[in-house]
Amino acid sequence: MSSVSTGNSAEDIAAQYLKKHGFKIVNRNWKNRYCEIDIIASKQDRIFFVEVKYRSSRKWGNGLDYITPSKLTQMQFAAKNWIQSNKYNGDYTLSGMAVNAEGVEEFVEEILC
Amino acid sequence: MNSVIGIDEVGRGAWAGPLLVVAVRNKGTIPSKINDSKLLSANQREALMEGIIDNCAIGEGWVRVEEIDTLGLADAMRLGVKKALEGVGARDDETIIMDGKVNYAPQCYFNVQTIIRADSSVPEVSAASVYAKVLRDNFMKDLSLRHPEYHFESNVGYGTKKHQKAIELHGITKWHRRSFKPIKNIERIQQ
Repeated sequence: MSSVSTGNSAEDIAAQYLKKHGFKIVNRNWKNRYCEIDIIASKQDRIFFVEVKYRSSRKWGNGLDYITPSKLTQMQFAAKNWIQSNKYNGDYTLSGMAVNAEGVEEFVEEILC
Repeated sequence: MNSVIGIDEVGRGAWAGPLLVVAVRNKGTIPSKINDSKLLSANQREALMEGIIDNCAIGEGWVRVEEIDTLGLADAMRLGVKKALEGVGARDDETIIMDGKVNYAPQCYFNVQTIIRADSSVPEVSAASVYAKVLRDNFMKDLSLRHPEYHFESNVGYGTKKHQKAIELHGITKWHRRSFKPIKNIERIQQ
């Protein structure tokens, strides 16, 4: 499986998971020339910017281990880009989801920056 | 326009897992075919979720196991209802319809009606019932990945023979409600 199709199917799993947990999918693979966001979801008047990390095996660690401080800075930058281009002025959260071959391993609704 | 908020809960009688109260305000058209969550199959409930999320404002009131054990069930219900009403941004004067006989809403909400079987007669309550059941069932399914020996994916925390046997064999987890009699009884036998 190519990394693109792996990424897509991991995002499908992530989107399904979010829907089953009461989230509305606002955008998938939102991007502009500077940045991109895997999934943008909403729930109870809050927007969640979700970074999806796929790892085929646990031996490489939990996917969320790969959300480094510099990745968080990129996520924050991308979130602000989306907020600006959509003129959104509500609450938002940066979230992370680890997906493996068996499904969703972990979903962290609010990553503390 | 006078809006109505429907409230329902799931997980009140469970031996394990949180209690979830959901408040729903209709903003568009609640999907037809919606009915009491208990009469629908899991697939039918999940199929209705998107329509509910698209057409309703929703407030979730999760009450943790330790809160249930500390507060007792009635106050846990009150806490769940309070959180759910705050989550949906309920106004004091809004009409609130709650399934059952008891009004668990804080006193500031002065227009509360309790209706027995409202989950099958009031669309907002039906939507709250479906939404709550899907969310809590999925929460318990997630939990079963960490604790497969308790079969939370099928019993969703409720008391079954298999669940009881699993507790006797593997012990009581932090997800079990120690204030509940069946759990207390198992705890006493094991001491």
